[in-house]
Order: sequence, then structure tokens, then C-alpha cells
Amino acid sequence: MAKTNPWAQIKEKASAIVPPVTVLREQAQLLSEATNAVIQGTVIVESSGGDTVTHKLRAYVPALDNYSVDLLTVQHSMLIYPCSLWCSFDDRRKWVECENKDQLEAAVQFALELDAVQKVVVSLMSQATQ
Amino acid sequence: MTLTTGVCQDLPPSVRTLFWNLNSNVASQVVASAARSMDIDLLVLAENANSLADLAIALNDGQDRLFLTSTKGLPALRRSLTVFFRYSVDSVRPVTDGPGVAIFELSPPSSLSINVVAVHLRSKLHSDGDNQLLAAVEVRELIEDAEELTGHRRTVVVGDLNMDPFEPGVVAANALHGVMSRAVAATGSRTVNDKERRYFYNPMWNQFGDHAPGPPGTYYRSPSGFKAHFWHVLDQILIRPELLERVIDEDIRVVTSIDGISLLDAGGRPNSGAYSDHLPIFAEIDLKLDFQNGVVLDGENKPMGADQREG
Repeated sequence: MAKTNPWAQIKEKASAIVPPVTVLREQAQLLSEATNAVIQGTVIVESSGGDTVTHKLRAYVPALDNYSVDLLTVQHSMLIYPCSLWCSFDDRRKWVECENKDQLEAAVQFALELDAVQKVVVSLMSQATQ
Repeated sequence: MTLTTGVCQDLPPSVRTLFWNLNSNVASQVVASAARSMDIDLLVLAENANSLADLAIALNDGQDRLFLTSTKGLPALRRSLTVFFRYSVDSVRPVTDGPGVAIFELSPPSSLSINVVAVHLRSKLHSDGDNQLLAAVEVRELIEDAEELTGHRRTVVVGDLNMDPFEPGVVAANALHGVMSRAVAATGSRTVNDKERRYFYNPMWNQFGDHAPGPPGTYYRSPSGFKAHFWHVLDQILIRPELLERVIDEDIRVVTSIDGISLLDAGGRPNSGAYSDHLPIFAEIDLKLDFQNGVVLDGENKPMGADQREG
């Protein structure tokens, strides 16, 4: 019998980490709530089968014939941090590297508050409710 | 591989379902009031003239658990039916559809999955009884295809069949095969012309006449001819034997008021001037998972995923 159990703290350690997908899901829920689900925030998880996992925060509008647009993309390896954030509407056109959850949350907040992103969401809401 | 994920929410162990043919005459606020007052999880509408956005805004105003909708993969939902659900979008998987029929699999997290067949079949204004029967045969074929695709027969049909429970399209063994008795439905199937024909239980037989728990039907019409039933039960829920123990008859009812406001006129008939000429129907389906020796059981007390087509 082993003298020590190397996995004794595994559940506590895992539950202490907030993965990027959770950060995006929270934003998806906020988007749905803010628009009374006229715009539905969803998170799409894509795995290529390799080491990279991709999460996309998608704005989905059933009332506009199921139109959808990806607002943010996060990629990470099996080790979920560091991760990379991409915003299609950010003029800087570059991946933002985030070492941890706090950095990711700040980057996500910054990206979603960009004028370009806000204009897209406002336009979708306006068209859907006409 | 692509997965769609939504936000996990605390989910009830049953799905509270409301179907209502709105006759293009019920405002989104009234629909929302109905959904809120009955704590509805699955809302199926026919003849809805409200925009999806208006309905979403009304349904979700001040709500924690949001009503979502999706028409992806089910064109029928754009044409004749509207469905809202209080589950994440990945809990609702489109399966197949046809004219006036949309079939999706509802799989809330940690709950039993079911096939939901939302229907709004053609009325006798646009189709005679023979054509209704033939259309019902096609609906049965769609349902069997869907059950093959999802791998189980935990199926409910809900909607406006535009036929009474006693009409051939609902009763015939090669159509929907809905029977009035739980005991008969519980036997699963019968053989007609050398072919096994699976039953649905049709609890809506209980909603006829003056001894029904509610009004004598869901729809009233006073024709001028010799034959007149006056009250009809066009709006129905049919249940596969696999779900019989998950739905009790007392949890199926015709709705006559919303938040204390009657949907009936002074004569006790649907108030079609103010609302719809159809009354809504409500059903609650238990989706709790059962466990035995740590194994999740399906609706038939067999291990989940076991081949249900044996025997």
C-alpha cells in the first residue's frame, strides 16, 4: 500500500480553478439576461482532437432567422492557463495572452465594452425587435 | 467535434408543459402571464402571431430562468409552431420535422431525456377526414424515424391535431394509435396485418363532457348540420407506454384561467373574442432519473442505453 496518496487534494485543487469556458459562460448568461434572451449568449466548444481547445462566445438571434456572430474566441492547451483571447471586432487584431482567470476576465470585459462590439449587439437587438 | 454549451441552472425534476393554439389572437403578455403563473418549462404554441423577440421579452421580463428558443434544424418551427424552453440550448436537440410537425429531443442535465413531438395538423377547413388520416400516418412514420434516431421511445406528442381523440387519424393502428386506456397502452403494442403497432396513451379522452375535470373540451363549434359534437378535444397530449409512469392523469388539464382571468365567455366557452378559440392544455412529465445499484435507469426501469427494441 502506498505511503501517501498523491491525489488526496485533487478535487480541492481542481475546484479552485475557474476555467476560461466558465468565464465565457458567465458572459453568455449576462448577454441573454440583458436582452431578455432576444439575443442568446452561448458558448461553443471546439476540440480539434489535438492539444488545443477553442471556446467561442456566440451571440445567437432566433428572431433574425438564427443569425449568429462570434464575439470572442479563447484558446488554450490541456493546461487551461495561460490562454489566448481573440476579439474579431478589436482593431488591434491580435491575440491577448492571459496568465490566469483575473487577466482573462479583465480582457473579456475590455473586449465586450469595445464600441464595435457594443454596436453589433445593439444593432442585432434593434433589428430583432423591429 | 463541436459541442454547444449553455449556462447550468438549477433545474426542476419535471417538465411542466403548456400547449396553446393562439388563433393569432393572444398577445405575448398574456402568453407570458400563462407561462409564469404555471411555472412552465416547455411552451409550445400554434398560430402564434407575435414575433419571437416580443415573446422572448415578455416571457423573460424579470425572470431568473430564461426562456430560450431555437429553430435551427426544424423549419416547421418557423412556419406553424413556436417553441420556448427554460433549458440551455444544448438540452434541446432537433431530430426531424415535417409539415406541421417538429420533433426534438429534450435532455435536461441529470434528467431523463424525452422525444417531444410538437404538432399542428391541418384543420377540416383545409383538409377532409381522409386526408387528415393520411397525414397522421405520415406523422407516425416521422415519430418512428425520430425514435430510431434518438434510440428510445420515451416520446410525447403535444399539440393541435385538429382531430378528436376518437377520429381515425388518432385511433388507427397505422396512424397515431392513441388509446383511451392506460391498461391497454401499458401492453405496449398489438399486431395488425402481421405488423407490430405501438400504442400511445391518449389521456385526453378524460377531458370530454360534463364530468371532465375542466370544461367539456378544448374547442367549441356550433355547426348548422345534423351532426354536431359542439365541444371537441383537438388539443392533445399523447404518451408512449415508456412514459406512462411519468405522467399522472391529474397532471393533465385544460386551462380555463390565467392569473385569475377567465379564458371562457359567459356561456363557458372559449372566449375567442378576447383570446383564442382554443383553450390551452397543461401537462407535467416527471424526468427524474432513477437509480438502482448505482446504475441509471430509463423510463422502463432498464439500464439507460440498453436496447429497448428487444421483445
